[in-house]
Amino acid sequence: MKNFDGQDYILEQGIFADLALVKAWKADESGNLVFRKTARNFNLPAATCGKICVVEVEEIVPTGSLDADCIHLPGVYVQRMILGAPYDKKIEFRTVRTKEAA
Amino acid sequence: MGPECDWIPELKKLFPDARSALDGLLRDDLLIASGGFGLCGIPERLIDAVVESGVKGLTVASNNAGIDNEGLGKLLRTKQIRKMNSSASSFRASWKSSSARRARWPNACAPVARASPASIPRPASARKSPKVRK
Repeated sequence: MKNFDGQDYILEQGIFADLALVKAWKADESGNLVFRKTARNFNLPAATCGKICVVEVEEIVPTGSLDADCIHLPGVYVQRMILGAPYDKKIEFRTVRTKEAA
Repeated sequence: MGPECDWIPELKKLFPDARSALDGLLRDDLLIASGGFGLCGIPERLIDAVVESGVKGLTVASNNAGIDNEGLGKLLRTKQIRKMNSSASSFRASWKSSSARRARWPNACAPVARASPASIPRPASARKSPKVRK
């Protein structure tokens, strides 16, 4: 419990994981990661709280070919990575409404 | 970047498969943080490798525990997880079949931001009696 400006707050210890498991979309050879859409979700906090971060990605590209401005997670957080492709996406489906006949 | 960086051993991060990538890292009673939400953005291959390794007594921190036979649900099935830290509880069957203890966070707090005001409302599902407004 800690008091800031007269208001009590609960202050809990953060999570320091021994191992972080992360899934990303693209990585370059240095481990800089790009996530895809909502699959970014909790991969960033998981990666940064781990002492060792192991990543699986769908595609690995040469270092320098990803735009530096578009990197979601810098490679300094990544210790090991694998290429996990091909993936069978269990939840991502494209659904469109059936068109009514004119 | 390029050839001049090759001498730095840390830059050789790529491993041929999940098992070799986790080699030397897995042991009993680890605290593992896993990314993903439900089946979206989950490290499937790495979770499979953890299942295969057979390590036990794990504490896992993740938004939720996948479903019965996918994601972290696999680790619950094999009873390798001793304690599960998550903000959203998953389907019941995985819990029934496992002996894991649950530590549930209110949905309002993401795993990163644990310093929360004491006045933060508990999730509706945790309240004893819902308020009825007339």
